[in-house]
Amino acid sequence: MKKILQLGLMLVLISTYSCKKKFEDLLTNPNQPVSLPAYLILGKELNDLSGGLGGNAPWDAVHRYNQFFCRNYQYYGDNAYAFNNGPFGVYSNDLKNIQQMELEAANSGAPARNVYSAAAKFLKAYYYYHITSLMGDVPMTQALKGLENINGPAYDTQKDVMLQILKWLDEANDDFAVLKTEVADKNFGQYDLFYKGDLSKWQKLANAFQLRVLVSLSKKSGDTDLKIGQRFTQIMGNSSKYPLFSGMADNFSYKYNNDFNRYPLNPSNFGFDALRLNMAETWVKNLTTLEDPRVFATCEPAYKLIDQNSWSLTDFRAFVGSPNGENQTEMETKAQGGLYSLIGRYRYYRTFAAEEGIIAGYPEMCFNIAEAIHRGWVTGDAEQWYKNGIDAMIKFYGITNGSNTFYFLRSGNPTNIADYKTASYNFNFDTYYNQATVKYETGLAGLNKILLQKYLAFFMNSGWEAFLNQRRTGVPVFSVGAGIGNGGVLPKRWTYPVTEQNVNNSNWKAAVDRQFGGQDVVGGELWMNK
Amino acid sequence: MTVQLPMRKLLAVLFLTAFSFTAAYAQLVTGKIISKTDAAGVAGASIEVKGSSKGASADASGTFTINAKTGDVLIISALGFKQINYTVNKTSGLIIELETDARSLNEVVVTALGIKKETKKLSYAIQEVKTADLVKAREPNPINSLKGKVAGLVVNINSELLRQPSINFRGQGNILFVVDGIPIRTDTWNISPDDIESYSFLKGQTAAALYGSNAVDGAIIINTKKGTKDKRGFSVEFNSSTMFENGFLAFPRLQDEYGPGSTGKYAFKDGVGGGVNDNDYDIWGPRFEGQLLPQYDGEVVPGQTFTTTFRDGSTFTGNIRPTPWLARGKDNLGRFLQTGLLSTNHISIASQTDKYDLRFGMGHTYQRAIVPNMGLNITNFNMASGYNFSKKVRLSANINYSRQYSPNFPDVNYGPNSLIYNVGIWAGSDWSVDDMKNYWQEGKVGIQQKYAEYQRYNNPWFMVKEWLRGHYKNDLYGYVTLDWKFAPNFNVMLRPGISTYGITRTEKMPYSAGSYGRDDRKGDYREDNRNLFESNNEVQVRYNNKLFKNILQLDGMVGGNIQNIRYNSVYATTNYLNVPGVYNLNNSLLPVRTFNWSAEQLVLSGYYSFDFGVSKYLTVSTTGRLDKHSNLPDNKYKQQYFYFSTGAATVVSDYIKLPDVVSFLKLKGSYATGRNPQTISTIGPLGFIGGNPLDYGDTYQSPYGIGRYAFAKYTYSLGFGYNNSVVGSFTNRLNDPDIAADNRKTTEAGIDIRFFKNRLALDVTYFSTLSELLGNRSISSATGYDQITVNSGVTRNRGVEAVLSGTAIQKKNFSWNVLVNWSTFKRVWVDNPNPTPWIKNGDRVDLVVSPGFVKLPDGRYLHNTDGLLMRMRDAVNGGNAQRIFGHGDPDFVWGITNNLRYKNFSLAFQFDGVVGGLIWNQIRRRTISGGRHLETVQGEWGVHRPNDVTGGTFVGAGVTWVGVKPIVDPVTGEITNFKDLTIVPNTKAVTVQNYASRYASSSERDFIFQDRTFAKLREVTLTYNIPANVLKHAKFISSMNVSLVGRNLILFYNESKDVDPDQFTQQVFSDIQSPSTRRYGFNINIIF
Repeated sequence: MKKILQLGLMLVLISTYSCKKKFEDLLTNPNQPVSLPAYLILGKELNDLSGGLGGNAPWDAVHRYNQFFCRNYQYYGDNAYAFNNGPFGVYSNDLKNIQQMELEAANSGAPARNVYSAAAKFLKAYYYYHITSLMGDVPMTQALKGLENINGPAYDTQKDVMLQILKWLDEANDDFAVLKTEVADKNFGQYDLFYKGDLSKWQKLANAFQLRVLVSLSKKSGDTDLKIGQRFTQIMGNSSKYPLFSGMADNFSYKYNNDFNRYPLNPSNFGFDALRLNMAETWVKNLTTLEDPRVFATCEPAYKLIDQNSWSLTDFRAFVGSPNGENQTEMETKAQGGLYSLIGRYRYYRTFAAEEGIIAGYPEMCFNIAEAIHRGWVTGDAEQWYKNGIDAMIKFYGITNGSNTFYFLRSGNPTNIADYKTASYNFNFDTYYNQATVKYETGLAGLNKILLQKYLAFFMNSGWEAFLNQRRTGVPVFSVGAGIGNGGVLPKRWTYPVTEQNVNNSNWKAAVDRQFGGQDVVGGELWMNK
Repeated sequence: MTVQLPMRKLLAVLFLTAFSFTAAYAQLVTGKIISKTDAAGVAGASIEVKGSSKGASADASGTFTINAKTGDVLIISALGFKQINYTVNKTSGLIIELETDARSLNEVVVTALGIKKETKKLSYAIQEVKTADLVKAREPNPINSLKGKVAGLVVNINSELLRQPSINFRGQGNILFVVDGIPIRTDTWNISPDDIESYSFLKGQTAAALYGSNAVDGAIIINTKKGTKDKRGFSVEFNSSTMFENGFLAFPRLQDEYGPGSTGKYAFKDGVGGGVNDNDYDIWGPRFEGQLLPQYDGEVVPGQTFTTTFRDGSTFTGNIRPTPWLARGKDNLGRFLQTGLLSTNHISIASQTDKYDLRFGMGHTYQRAIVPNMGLNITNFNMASGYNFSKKVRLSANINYSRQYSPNFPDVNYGPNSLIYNVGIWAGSDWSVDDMKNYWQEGKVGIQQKYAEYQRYNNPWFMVKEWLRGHYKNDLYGYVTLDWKFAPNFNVMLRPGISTYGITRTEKMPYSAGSYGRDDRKGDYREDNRNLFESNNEVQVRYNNKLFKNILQLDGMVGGNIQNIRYNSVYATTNYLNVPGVYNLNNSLLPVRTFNWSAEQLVLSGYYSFDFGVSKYLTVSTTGRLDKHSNLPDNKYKQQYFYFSTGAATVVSDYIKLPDVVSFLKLKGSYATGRNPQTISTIGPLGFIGGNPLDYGDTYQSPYGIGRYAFAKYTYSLGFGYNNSVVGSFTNRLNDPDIAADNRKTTEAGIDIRFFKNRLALDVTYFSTLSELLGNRSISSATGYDQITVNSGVTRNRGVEAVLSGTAIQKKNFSWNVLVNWSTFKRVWVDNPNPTPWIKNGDRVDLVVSPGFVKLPDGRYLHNTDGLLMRMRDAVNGGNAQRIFGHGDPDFVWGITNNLRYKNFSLAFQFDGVVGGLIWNQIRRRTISGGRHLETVQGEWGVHRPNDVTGGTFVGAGVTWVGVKPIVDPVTGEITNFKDLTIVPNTKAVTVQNYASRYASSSERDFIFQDRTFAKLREVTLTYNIPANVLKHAKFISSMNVSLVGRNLILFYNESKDVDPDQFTQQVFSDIQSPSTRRYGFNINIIF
């Protein structure tokens, strides 16, 4: 028995010898940090702006919903508006990290007003603007508190969310105004892929973005809490306090490059989908009706029409897009038969960095101001802003007064310039502008012209803006039909993610009840559009 | 690790005390107990003096000493032998022979921690398989051989070279491999069946309750061969097996009538989109009619143009001279594959004396793949030895080393990295595989492959000869056991053991090879290095005694174990190459990407096991184990968890007179818990930082067994942002601070009944397992986090396993034995932590839910106005709708093994199979939607396919509607306004291409789900044992047999004809698969 006791003791000895310290050490993951500098999160968040939000990048899903292009090949998908399962991933992937960035900056001893928290205010405004515009009421005041409470947060009303967005943007303007006079944070500059740390541009961005938000609320211009007109006047009336974009150089835009951040269409994927995507009628027809040469820069002609009619390559009649609502079998047959315009090879497939991806740009701001003046929110020269917007966007495509050469590729290698055919086109801005279909006028017709030119300025940029503006104004008329799914009816919103019904049911239900009469469906009308 | 020191001290203490005990008893009678059949000592035989309480047991060599006098009657009993009475006639040198007991021949099994027990005392399900049957008709991976042989064991055989099978007990896959009591981390490739005596299968919690958390779903115990029973004291055994692989069991059904392209059009210009559908094509191109088309090998005539006009009037102009469009490559895939070879040679030398036993085994396996230029070598070395210091102290050791090496093995995963993808699914027969052997373009050797397409696909010969994936792995496990019988009825065992591997995998991707995400086609080099070291240091004290005049028999054990695992891995890849053909990380064009992961785990365990035998009536068992596990957080549970088991067995036939026909009846019942702190059985290349480092290919999983630091402090993961800069993001997963290890509670009951003097035996086990999970529950993403790891979710798994064995015929020269295995189980949610409208509490866990096509209430499919099958999401409100198609687990799994013997011939054959469950046939889906499947040229599709080029004339048989649009239920997708609809015949003509592509949609799976039911003639072995009188002439050979062998010979009733469902016995979604083959050959076994 003594021996057993001895052995037992020895066992205890071994156990305790292998010690508490050891177990404590093994509680720490040696492979990942528990804390890191704020700029590493900034780097992630700024880079993320190039996509996300249910497909926000150039040539991503959003630009099919914007009716700029179509898919004609069933194997790789269709043209349906798949607005199910709204993008709540924004909370966990972006908004939470933005909050962490603020926290890490504060933990490292940064003062209350610091460049990370100022950028965070813009980023929060950016994301909340999108998720509320896409879905309606969304959690905000109780959101992002997972570390304190995992229970599902209540949904804030869209109006409250919009008010908070405007507040953040005001604060961001104030913060950047101060911070731009202080010593620059070099790390911020290094990770700021948009403005390289130029805080005066960040300040302009915050204000230009506020104009976008205000215009999006045009149906609520009488709301006494939002004070849309008053805010617009305030910003427009004090350019030193509220500096705005002064040209394309101020654009908040993502610059693509050859190696790591390639433009979504490029020579290496030309063979995959260049033939399976074709241009949409809504984009092409609105350009050809205006005899707008942007169609030559962005599209190939329909070669069968060129052959049949012996038209020149820059004959507007040769540019035809497919209606997004079209039956896909017919779309494919026509695209294969050369009856539809394909994506312009020269601009989009010749290099790895076709164009910058504008997220918030100068032309849009011009049109927003023109619309606000037109609506009487603020005084000013609506036509001048309207012209500035058109001019900037046409120049974006390198189109200048005089003879312009355009390149078209019927077959062959998009990187081989010898494979291209060229055609020239004489452009004159005044001639273009003075067309009855373009020239500014008062009344609804004038407003619609502003809105149409704004739509044309959103081609492959600014994410959801083309769709959201069309939803708000009905301009331009979008194609409907079997091809867009949902029984051929354009959806008005994204449904909330299905998981909300399971894990946050009471809050989800309250939000759906008060907004859409209990039905979480894509046809629900949002408060901002009522 | 700091525990070595006390371990060594302990050993020293034990040695010292061992010798001080040696002379403690008087030696009155000494002797040896041997087996009558082979004269080998019977270890552990028990000796009692009749009419007294005196008893002793024999040592490992069968030698014993007992206090007795001449004339006393000794009762000798031993597991597996008939009990005898022996009258003492002298005091030393007794030789007592025991006869093996045929009835209980298989009734001693190795249970948890290597403890041998009589099956009649077991209260839970264990099944045993002797490897003698498994080394003739061989499998490349030894575990594959077990399919169909054990009730409740599911083996998903993966026949691809170097892929490992997945194994489930009762539907669950967290299974531990144990060698002679020591856990090993194995991918099963380092297990050499020639060195294995038998496998014991501990199914479920009760049997495995004594093992740690790694065995929550059961354990497979490997009992190695030791020493020899040869009367001469030594033996040499040689086993050689040669098998060929050819003759396909399942082969994709492909058409050779139409070539690549789309809507019946194709013209080659550059293979990257310059022509007409000459890039990333499907096989919806023109029919092979000898018409002239520009093709990949056509003559390029600079300055001259050729215009091709298609039937829809469109044209293509290029400078390749058109050539006749013919099916030059009929059966390209079949012609590309070769006969495979599996050759195994093994030699073992064994020796045994009273003092020691020794066995060396060395084997080599070579496998030549059915894909050219691919193969695998495995060299295995095993050494087992034992030394008896004294009658009370024995030291034994075993070491197993295995090296697996392959300079080139296939990547089968879906994508351009896979041959089947390139040749079987996405290539037409417009080119011949024979023309692809010269795979470099002229003047561009080492830089540019030659093929019919350059955007997506690769030349098959180029792939197998230039795109090389290497695999080099060292596996080693071993243990040392010190047994010391330090007092009467007590013994102590010390058992340090290790299991370790080191692996290097390499991939040389040549210039111009393409795969998903590597579209620049500039080559790459990768290295994946992983090392794992595990040690288990175990101490056990065992006690057994008969008390109260033998009424109570007590077998008890108390033990402890220290487990330490350390893992480290580095994965590095170039980002394209500078210099083609130089496969070194320094040759990277863009900065090299590296990922590393290291982890360590410590588990301290204490456990006990007690068996109480109450005379002949009852055996009651109980075990308990307490673990302190470093993967758990230091919360109120202090990183600890306890689990236990209890059970009872009674052999009714031992004390109740049953009808004569019943020769044996045993009832058993047990209850056990099993717990797991979320350790992960395997790990990928990047640790748990992410999944696959590449956008393509296999994510190789190697054995792991550590946690993923899921309960450590929240961390950021690092990734790459703009311009390759490093960026961080915070976790999206939270932890409940109060988590405890998960908990599975199993109740088992069974009956073991035998008839006709044991000629027919039926063993049935019923089980019910309640699993209280530790897992991830979705939370509202608006909290900033998507999931929380929490103790939530409860499933119940109920099932039955039955083993029927019988001797159909037993004559002197002829016998026929049959073994039938059958098992079934069903898993349901008791509490679903992530309920969906389709899978709620009470529903099966394995329900297969997927979007589908809209059906009318009478079952007819509805067409959309575009003439295609209408998807639920095409209907109003149908965006999230899904349909329940069935369940994934099989209804039941069965196997029948037959062993016939006639004189010197024996014949063994096995059928096994699966009934029920769904399988999603990936090859069929891809080839139908891609136009390559045979079905796309048959029936109505075949009639209309030629007209695709002019817009299509195919009208889907069925209905559509006019007027009011169908509205569907947002959950079920069933039409809710049927009474308002006007249903009319579908008349809309479409292309076969679009119709078939929709039919075989990736998301709507109505026509791609198939019944999994199948059966196989798994194995046939015909053996001739050379008669002893013939062998007498060959002096050195003591026994010899030769066999003709075959495996996987016939596949019966396979609805999913394009794939071999063997690989997906319990898996719904099939990946692409190489055609499966028959394997046959011969085996020679010689003992010198």
